[in-house]
Amino acid sequence: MYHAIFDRNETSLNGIWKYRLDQNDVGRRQSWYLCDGTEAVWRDIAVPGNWYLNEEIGDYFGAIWYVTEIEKPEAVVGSRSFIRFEGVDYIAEVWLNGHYLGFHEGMFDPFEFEVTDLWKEDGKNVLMVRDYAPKDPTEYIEADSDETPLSAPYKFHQSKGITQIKGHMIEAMHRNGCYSSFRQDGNSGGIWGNVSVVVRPQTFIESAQIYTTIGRNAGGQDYDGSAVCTVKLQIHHGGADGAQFPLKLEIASFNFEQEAQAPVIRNVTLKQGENSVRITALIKDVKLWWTWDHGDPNLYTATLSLGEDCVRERFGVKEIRKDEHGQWYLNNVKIFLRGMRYISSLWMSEANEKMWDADFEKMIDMDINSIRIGSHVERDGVYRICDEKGLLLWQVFALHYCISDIDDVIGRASDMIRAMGMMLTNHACMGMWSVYKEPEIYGLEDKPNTYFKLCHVLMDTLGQVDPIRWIHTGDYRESVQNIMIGSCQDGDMDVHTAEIKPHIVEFGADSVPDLVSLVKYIPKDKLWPLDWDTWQYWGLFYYNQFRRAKSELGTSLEEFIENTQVYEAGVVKEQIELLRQKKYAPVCDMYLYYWSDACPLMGSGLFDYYRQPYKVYESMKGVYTQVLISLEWNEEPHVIGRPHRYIRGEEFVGKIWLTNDHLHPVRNAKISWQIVRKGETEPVAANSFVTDLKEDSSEVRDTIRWAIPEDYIGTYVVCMQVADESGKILSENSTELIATPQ
Amino acid sequence: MYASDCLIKEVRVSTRMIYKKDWCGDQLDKYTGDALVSLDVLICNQGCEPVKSSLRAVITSCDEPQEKTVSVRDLTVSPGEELYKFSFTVSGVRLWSTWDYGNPSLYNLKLEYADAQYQSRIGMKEAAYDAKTGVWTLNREKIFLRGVELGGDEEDLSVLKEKGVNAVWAELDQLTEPVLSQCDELGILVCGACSVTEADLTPEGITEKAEKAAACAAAAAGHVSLGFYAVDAPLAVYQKADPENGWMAFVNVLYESLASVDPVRPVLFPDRGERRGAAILSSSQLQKLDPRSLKLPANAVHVGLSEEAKCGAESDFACWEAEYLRIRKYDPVSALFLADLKAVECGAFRPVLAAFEPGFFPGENGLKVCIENGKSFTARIWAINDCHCRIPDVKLAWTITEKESGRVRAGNSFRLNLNPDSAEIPDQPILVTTSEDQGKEFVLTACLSTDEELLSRNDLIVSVL
Repeated sequence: MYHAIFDRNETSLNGIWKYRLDQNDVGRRQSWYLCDGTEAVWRDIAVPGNWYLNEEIGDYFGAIWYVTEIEKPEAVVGSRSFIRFEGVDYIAEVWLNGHYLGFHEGMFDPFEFEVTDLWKEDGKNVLMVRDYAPKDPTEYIEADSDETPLSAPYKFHQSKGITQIKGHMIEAMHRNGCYSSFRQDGNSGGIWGNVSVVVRPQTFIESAQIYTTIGRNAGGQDYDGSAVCTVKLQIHHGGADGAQFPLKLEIASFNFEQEAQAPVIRNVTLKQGENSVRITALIKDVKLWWTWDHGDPNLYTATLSLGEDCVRERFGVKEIRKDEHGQWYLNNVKIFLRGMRYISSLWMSEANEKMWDADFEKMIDMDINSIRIGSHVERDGVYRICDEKGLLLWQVFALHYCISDIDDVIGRASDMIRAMGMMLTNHACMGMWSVYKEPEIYGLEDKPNTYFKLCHVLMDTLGQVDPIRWIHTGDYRESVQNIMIGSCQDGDMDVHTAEIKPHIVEFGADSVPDLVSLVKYIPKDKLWPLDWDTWQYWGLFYYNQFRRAKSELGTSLEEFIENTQVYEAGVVKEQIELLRQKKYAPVCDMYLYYWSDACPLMGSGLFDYYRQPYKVYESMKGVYTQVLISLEWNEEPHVIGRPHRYIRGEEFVGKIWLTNDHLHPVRNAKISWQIVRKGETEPVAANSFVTDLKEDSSEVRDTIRWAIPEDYIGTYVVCMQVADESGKILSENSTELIATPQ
Repeated sequence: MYASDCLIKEVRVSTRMIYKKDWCGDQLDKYTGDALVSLDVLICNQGCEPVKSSLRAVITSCDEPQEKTVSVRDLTVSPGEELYKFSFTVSGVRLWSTWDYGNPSLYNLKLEYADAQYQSRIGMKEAAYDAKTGVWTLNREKIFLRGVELGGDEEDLSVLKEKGVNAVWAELDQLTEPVLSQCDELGILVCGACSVTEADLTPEGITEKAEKAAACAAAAAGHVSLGFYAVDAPLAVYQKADPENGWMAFVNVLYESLASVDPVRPVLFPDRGERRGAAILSSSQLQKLDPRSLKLPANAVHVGLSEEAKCGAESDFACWEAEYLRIRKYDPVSALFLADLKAVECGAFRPVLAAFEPGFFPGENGLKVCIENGKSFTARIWAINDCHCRIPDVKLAWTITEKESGRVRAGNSFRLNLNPDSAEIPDQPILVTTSEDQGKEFVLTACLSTDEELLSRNDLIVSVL
């Protein structure tokens, strides 16, 4: 059973442990679990930590045994005690004082073993963990139909059917070994999360799922200011059948001022062992949770008391739903999601509050209001920060590509998705779920039936934990789309004829990081001239970069880096403009793939692994503002990210789009545009006017009709600006046009 | 494996038909002929040591015992209780269906873990509801539900099947093991209703209701005949354009509790957000008004239950309402549940039905139609076929007869084909009345029959004022 930690005190077991590699998998046979780690073969290791980050171990696949000596915590007297692991990747077996405690499979979910009767009263207690993170046994096949200079193992490969449930951590587009036969490299194995002793009374609250529904006035449209909050508790009762306990629920504001709600008390009769009970409260004058751009992320605390146990859980009151067109409604108000895919690190132990806080502050600074996490589960701190900062979250379960559809995988994945639901449902930020990132992306002619077998069982399982939120069964169905023009898709595609769907769960492109980062993982002798195999391994997809993006190598490494970054910055900017011009027609949300590279890599991040920005960061920041002015130029086929060329003497026609994501109109907005020769300030054409911008809209508000003069060959810049009535600039944007002789 | 103190404490079954995209062909999703069985297995290890063993399932067809599926999942269960998902594929499955659309095929399920065992009888089906259109599907084929509401004291449900009933509606706490087992075997789809009253709409009341509903649903969910749940309310609530303050928020608690126990079966909700088009409403207003002026719901419950009908003619009213709802098949009615069991006797529940739609209302609906002397009586004759098969060469014969003299005043007889799952108007009788007809009663009779059997016979009394 999933045990929530709530706000319970934990005695940390983090620190320097001992480890021993078990390359030949003999540890169990040789009873290593009876060792105490004092022999010389056991070496120091920091816990928590992914072993990849340990210089002695590095990219190792297989079993590693960890051991530490612990003292019996004083608080365990008279109570029940549990050893808790925040996260072990991937299969953990645990012993205390040689006594086998149990087994856990999974890379993200916390687990515990009860040790109440296993402590040695005097002397040391030895905690032993066997962590097994092997290579997945899947077969890899070459699925490359493109001509590239790569040698065979580095050509595009894909697995026939992964059986480990590790999402990004085992299989993804951007990670070392990318697309090659080495795609599992960068093993995320290790005790990456905190280890602790948790003490609970004999009868205790194991978990609490909080569901809220908002009251409506007669007529059904407007909220009446109240909400119903139901808590579904799992209680473990250590005493005899028939014991009666008062169960108390107290609800109080967490991050705003409000008088506490009257407590609700319910008498419950418990049987020995597991009990499922509910308690319901009516919240008056409810303060709803909003994304930061549409209100305050108001949070409540539910305090649950049962006998000697008392725990607190934080939650928010909100309603998120999607209509048949895919439009999202937060608390009955239509909202547009300017989103970002996020993975803090391939190695979870290095993710921390400082990193998240810095990342999310930057996201809010660029007007992002939603995050898509997956295909993995982050540490709990990420979700807590999103609760507090008002970032709506779309969580994708830890399945990314090419998973096997065998029955055993379905069973194991279902148990893990249930745990994910239990971990995350109470977070106010949780908006919607996906059970699998891209279930049908195989290059095989006939593909495993993961969509109809695995995905639907996962949806059912998660639906038992969270029957309220929308659960998506996997990309490319149900109005969901990836648009990676100049990366996974042809850079010359005509976007005016392309089908665009409501949910753009990935858009973006990729480029090469600055040299200062690149030299940290590409050997010097492989840098220039480019060693194609090495660059492919570290994320430069030959075909994507040279056939789709059509990047120029230039005459130096620095020039090549610049070329890739400039193209990415331009094509992503114009992807965003295109998608926002299509707001609600049909685009309802959009998520850039992705915030930062999860490992040292040439990737799609706004930032590289070392948090150095790519050029795309600044260009995206300029067009992700809540109010945006953008240009739609007349060019068919309509290609984005390339120079926009016009023959002098032609008429240029440009539509000026105004997008307003605010839920209120912008009154007396001053719209202006001018066309100047690049490097000059004197306009050759211009217009300005004052108008109101409708709330939550995207409209063409002016059309430029301008005959391109015959007397100049070169670049013009269309400069656009929108300011509010106080003169504050809400959006500033520009697009270049090139006048050519013919 | 070693001896253990393990128990298989609870098993919840859900099933799905397995589709697969035809990647090598036309790229369409196609049924494979297999089913996916998903079990939520709660194992209790009462000992002090973890137990390593294999969870083993054997599924045997009740119809063909040689058809056997075996699946295994290795588990290590720590002391305490743990919930595991156990999914496996049953190839060439015999799907469970209502008796009128197929066969209610059943399987025996046997589970073993260490020294613990569990046995049950299960079926495989997929019941779904399209909230937008209000259409029910069973095993991905449209199904029209001709249902009755059980009171809890019925012993032999085979009588209902004989009368044409393919669905029953009952309070969840009245869905006893014998009732559900009979429905499993007979092929009758069950709706588990959870009725709320004003008194339930408090934090305490709804908590109790939700826990009870969840417990009942958990107990019933293993039965394949359980098709869906419904949150039900007094007529007064349904008849409001939008239920009032508090109602939605509180009944949502019931939705959550049912869906968290059983995420596969639909939960019907009165007027719940996106399910708005699927509202459950009473059809009692039919008795007062021209029914064509009413916006009918897709699911009509409590049919035949109204104040006006409490004058000794409930069954006639109910029968007429049932007939009217059947001619509105998929327009928008997809299901009807009759409150009065006696009314099934009238024949309105047969899968094939000849029904009348008089050209004008109102009248004493269900009892007789009254027309003014000198006016003509017109009606539509509906030929309704709920079966998925085409019935060829059916004879439709209708007559309008003077009740007293037996003189035939109008009639027609011809042969037609009844299309599968259809409701059509093959003919429209006309009776021209004269001054001599004043005060007379006429009987409109229509029969649908094949050479072998009478499929449906129906009468309507027409009075000339």
